[in-house]
Amino acid sequence: MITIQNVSKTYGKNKVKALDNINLEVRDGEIFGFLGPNGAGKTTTIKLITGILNMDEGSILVNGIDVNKNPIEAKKQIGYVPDNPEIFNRLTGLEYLNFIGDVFEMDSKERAEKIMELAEEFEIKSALKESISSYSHGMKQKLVLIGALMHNPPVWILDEPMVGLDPKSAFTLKKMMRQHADSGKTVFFSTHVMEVAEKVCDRIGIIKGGRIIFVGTVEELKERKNDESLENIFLELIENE
Amino acid sequence: MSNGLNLAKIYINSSYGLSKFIRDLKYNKKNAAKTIGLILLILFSLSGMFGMYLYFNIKMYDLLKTINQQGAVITLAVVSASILTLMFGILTVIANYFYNQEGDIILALPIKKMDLLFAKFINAYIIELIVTLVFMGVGVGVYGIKSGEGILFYIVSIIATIFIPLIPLSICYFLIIPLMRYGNLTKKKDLFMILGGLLGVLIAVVYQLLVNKFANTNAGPEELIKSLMRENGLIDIVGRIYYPSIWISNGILKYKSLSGNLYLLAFVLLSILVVYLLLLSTSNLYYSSVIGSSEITKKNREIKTEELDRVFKKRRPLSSLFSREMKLMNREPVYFLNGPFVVLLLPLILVIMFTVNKQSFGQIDSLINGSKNIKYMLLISTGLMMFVGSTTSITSTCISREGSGIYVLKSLPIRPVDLIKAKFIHGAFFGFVASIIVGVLLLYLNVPFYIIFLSFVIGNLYLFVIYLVGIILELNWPKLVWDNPQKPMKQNVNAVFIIFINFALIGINYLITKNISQTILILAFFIIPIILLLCAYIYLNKNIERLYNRL
Repeated sequence: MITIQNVSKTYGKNKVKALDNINLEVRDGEIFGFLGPNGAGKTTTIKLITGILNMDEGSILVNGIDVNKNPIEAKKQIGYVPDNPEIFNRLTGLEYLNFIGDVFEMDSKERAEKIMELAEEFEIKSALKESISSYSHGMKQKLVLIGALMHNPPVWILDEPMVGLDPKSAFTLKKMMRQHADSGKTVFFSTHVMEVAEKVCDRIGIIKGGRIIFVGTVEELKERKNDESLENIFLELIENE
Repeated sequence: MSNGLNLAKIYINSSYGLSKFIRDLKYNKKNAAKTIGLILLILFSLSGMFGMYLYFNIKMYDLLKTINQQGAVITLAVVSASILTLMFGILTVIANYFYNQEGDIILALPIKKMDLLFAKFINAYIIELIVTLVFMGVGVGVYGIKSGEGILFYIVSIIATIFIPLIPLSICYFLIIPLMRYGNLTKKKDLFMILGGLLGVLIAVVYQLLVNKFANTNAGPEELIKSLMRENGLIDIVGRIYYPSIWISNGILKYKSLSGNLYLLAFVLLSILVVYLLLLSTSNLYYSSVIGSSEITKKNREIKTEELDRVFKKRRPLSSLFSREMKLMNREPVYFLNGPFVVLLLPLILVIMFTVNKQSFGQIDSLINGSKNIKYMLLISTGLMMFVGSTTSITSTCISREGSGIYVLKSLPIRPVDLIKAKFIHGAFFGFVASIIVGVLLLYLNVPFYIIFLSFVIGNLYLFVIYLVGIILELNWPKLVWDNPQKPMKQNVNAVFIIFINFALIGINYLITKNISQTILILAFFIIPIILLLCAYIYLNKNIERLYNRL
């Protein structure tokens, strides 16, 4: 579960408000889709949850652990996929995953099993011994996904995880997200693809200009807007709100 | 050519950050001040070399004036600028291939092949022009002032200077393009970077040897001037092989006469013609050498079941972080050559200098052993260890080198103190290696073992201080936004600053050595770094979480 309470964040000397007093609760057992136009505050929200950025005010709890007060324990709950999979290009895929395993203190057997299983699923087993710099964007995305999921974190936070994935891997990921949520855990992900949001998410949140303008199910949103397509409703919302 | 010029503008801006600097001047004075500070620091660090060259030119003018040959000052400037443009040109052209700014986006644009090469050429030309300006500036300045030349002399000289790099740089492209195309070398980036680095080292060693040779002969610059001027001397040889250098000299020196003007005109036209020929004849070849440069051959090496135990091994987070630091640094040629490699390089240069130049060896030997003065032996030994150990820039670039990767690290449950410990150990490890290598060198110079041992301990204490200060600087002012690894390493003000701090500490040690007795000195040599170390440690310990979270 993720609880965001009265969180605000400004950037730079000019105090540009990236997030303006947002409140949000992502429950156990649900896939929560986070939608919004470019620059709305999606990635900033995700970076605050994962402890990459400091918030100006408010608090964020991940499974009841305060990200500010106990960052290490909070981060242990999280598997995070950043929006840009450019990571340590001079390491091999295997070295990167071993590093992640060490940081999460996974034992050798457990990590071997999990890495091999995920690498098989995402079809990059044969590339793990190669340098990450030789990977395509999609392969890097798969590697980062494996790194985020291999330690069985209860909370998945995925920033645009489908970008660069081939259809089979995207399908695999969606299936895994469903299984994860069905086992009572949390998936929070941002996306621009309405179709994915509509099909995969239990609930969605829409953010614009640093404020959350809607939280609920896709059906609730459609009811409010006379059963238009999600795409149309989304466009309407971000223009009018 | 307008597309070529537009592209050149983009390349120049991305390589030298000119428009960012102008923007900073208007809107972000702090950043602009940092850039100016960095440029001044670099200029200051080169000032010794520059001063020597200036002194040499003045001396040369005075000496040659007596036989009415002072024009050779200009010829030497032209020859030096041409040779250096050729040498640096090769490095620049190779580097431009590998930090390929065109990426696939530029290649996909409807830009003519000739424009692509033209833009690259202009980008490389800028750096060569700076080198040429320095060498010509000194020669022309000394000659012009001492001969009381008028404004026309300087105008002609500036025109000549602008055209000097064109032919040598074209020669570099004529050599490198076919090599890249037919040798399929664009995929061997790392190898080339290392070879390029070694070529740079070779130039530095040869330079040091020359400086040493002439600094230690009693005749001083006169000897060098004679050897430059004699038949088959440098000027004569270059003049014969690269005849246009004589045209430029004549063009500048005889600027008042028609023949001089014709020489200059001939040189300008020849330069333009060579560049045009380059663009005409090698644009296609250049294009095919950059096309496919980003292709990667995959080896497909499966992990076998019997390997699992070996490849998946649990390590403690700190040891894993340390291993990551080592791999990321040693596998990136720019980091390796400017970091750990320096630990091997500097002592190697010293050994070569001592071996080739016995006289300087004798001087050092007598300096260290002659007086049998423990104080100075300790000062020199410690200073050498501090100098070599601090030039690796490992900790003073440790956060900047992470670039955007720092955000991945911040998302992981890594204790900031563990990450910083790993970075400190990484620096200290090469500090130890540096001290051991310098220790062996000192042993070779017959320095008593106990002095080496004491220096090892004191030197490393000081290095610990320097490493911690490097980390503190990096945590406060990291350079995280960069598009090629040269920037966090070679354009990092923290790294330059740390080298100055190191010199300041060595300077303080010298003052102490001069003014206090031996017993107190040894005590002071231990106490000072321990106090500094404590201060740095307390500051870091208190602020580490805050500084890390702020990154």
